[in-house]
Amino acid sequence: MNQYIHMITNTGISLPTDLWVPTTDRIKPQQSKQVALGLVKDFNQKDLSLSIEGYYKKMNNTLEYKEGATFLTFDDPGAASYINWENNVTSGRAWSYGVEFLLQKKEGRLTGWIGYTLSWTQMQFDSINFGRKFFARYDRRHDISVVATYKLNDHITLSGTWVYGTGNAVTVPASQYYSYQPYPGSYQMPSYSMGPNPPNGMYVNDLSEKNNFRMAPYHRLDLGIQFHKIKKWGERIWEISVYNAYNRKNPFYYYNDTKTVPTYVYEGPKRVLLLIDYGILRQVSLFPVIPSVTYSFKF
Amino acid sequence: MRKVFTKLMPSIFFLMIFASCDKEVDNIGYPKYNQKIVISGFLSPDNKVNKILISENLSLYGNRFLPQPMGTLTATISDGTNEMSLDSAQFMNGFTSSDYPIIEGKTYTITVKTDKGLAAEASCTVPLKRNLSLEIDTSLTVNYNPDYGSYTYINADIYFTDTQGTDNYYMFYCEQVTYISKWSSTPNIFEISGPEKAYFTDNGKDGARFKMTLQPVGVGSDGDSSFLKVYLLNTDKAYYDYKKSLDNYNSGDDPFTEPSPVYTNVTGGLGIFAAYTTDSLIFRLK
Repeated sequence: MNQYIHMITNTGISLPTDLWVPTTDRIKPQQSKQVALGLVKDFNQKDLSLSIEGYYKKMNNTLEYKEGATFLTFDDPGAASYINWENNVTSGRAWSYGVEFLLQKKEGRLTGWIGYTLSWTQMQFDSINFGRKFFARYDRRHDISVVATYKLNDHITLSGTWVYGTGNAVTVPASQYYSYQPYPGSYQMPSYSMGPNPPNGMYVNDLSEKNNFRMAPYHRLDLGIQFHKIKKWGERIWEISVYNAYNRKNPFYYYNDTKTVPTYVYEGPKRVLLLIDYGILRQVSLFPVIPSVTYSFKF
Repeated sequence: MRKVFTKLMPSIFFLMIFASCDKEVDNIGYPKYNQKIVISGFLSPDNKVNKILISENLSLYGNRFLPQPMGTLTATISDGTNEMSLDSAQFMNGFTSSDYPIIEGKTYTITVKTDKGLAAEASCTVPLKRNLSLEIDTSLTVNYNPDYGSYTYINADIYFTDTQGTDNYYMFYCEQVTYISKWSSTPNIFEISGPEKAYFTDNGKDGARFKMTLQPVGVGSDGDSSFLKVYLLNTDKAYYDYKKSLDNYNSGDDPFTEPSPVYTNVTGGLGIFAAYTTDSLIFRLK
């Protein structure tokens, strides 16, 4: 199968940015081969069915941003004229495989389904992660969805949806180290005064494993109640619903920060209070509990 | 009371749901800090002293810049035949060619271990010394300003010939050294910009004659003497990859730039262990 449009996504912890780009003279279409094997069983009660499906998919010409690629520059509005996105991407391979379970109830007062997917998605690019395989940002080990609708009577319907997904894989360094930039001239290597800012180099984060960190899992419960009434020209529906009913703070992105903690330390026998900066990770979430009221009319 | 509560209710509700959209992460484990040995070593037969620095990585989370003790270090450098132990003083100060000679074409391996169980190893091969025919071609420009008088600039092009048939990696560095005895006994040293990228390969230009133009070099009237020192390093691939990765490095904090790691050839640790040979020329400006 060929696909003539590519999605490229960033892998840092900050603002998630997905970009859809077309196939060009330089960018080949994405190709995939997939095999799937499924089994469907209808139970004695005709309205209940269970399906199990396994799949394996291999993709070629998959696109990713090159390491260090800059795709938006706010401080240089004219950058778009000379940043060619084709120079910022590289193509490689990807593999995805897993198994999906789906239990459905299609009839009766209670309808809905329970779905579960166990999957793995890995990628490999010659010029990324030193050529080693890594998990894709949207690699989702577990994905669960539970959807239920209960018809209380002819006028009132209750509904609920719960979704759960393993967190995205992103690149978060755990440590940093001092990286020397040697000068061949008169200064050569530094005299190794290892203060906080030694010369000829800089502190760098250890980013040796791409997408090494899992964001917190995403889950959410949506609830709703619908009031139906048949009118002369159609059906009137009032709906009261709550999005993210238990106000789960799902992570949108993370960023590194510091917090100052007063800490007692001993300088010899003397106990001294110091203000020490601790490195922390902060999470930004969107969409807390959101109630809504909807009026609709079907005719 | 009821009225006040009714008025405050929407504000309390919105505060409750929106106030903590940004919070310290406390529901998942932080990335695990694994203590690693960091090796920084650049060997050359042209160095009077070859320096190797052993350090460690520091956790980004918690009390930063608080080094965890690495334990007692032992380190050796070997060319496959001759091995030398590096003591802790030599980690900081390097070793001279009489202690342990670095020879072109040989592969050197450094092994570092600690009694805490940390271990790191890296190898590099010193490039062969080549005849690069390094040359300088200069011209003079005199600018005249009615207020300040005339000022002389040297325009210089540097040429060298790549060795055909092998993958070669280069690094260029140039500095102006000026001695002004009435000010100081130590010279003033300024880096002089050359090609846009100071490191480059012969990829696509195998065996070619390379030309690099320097920024115009000012020759002031104060100096007793002034020199241009040009260094052309023939490096191994690791040195080139390391320089390139440092240039492209991005920590991942910029929301619109992909994280970009710094190259390492250290197994079990971090850092760089690379080698080079140097060609140089000195041109007297004054």
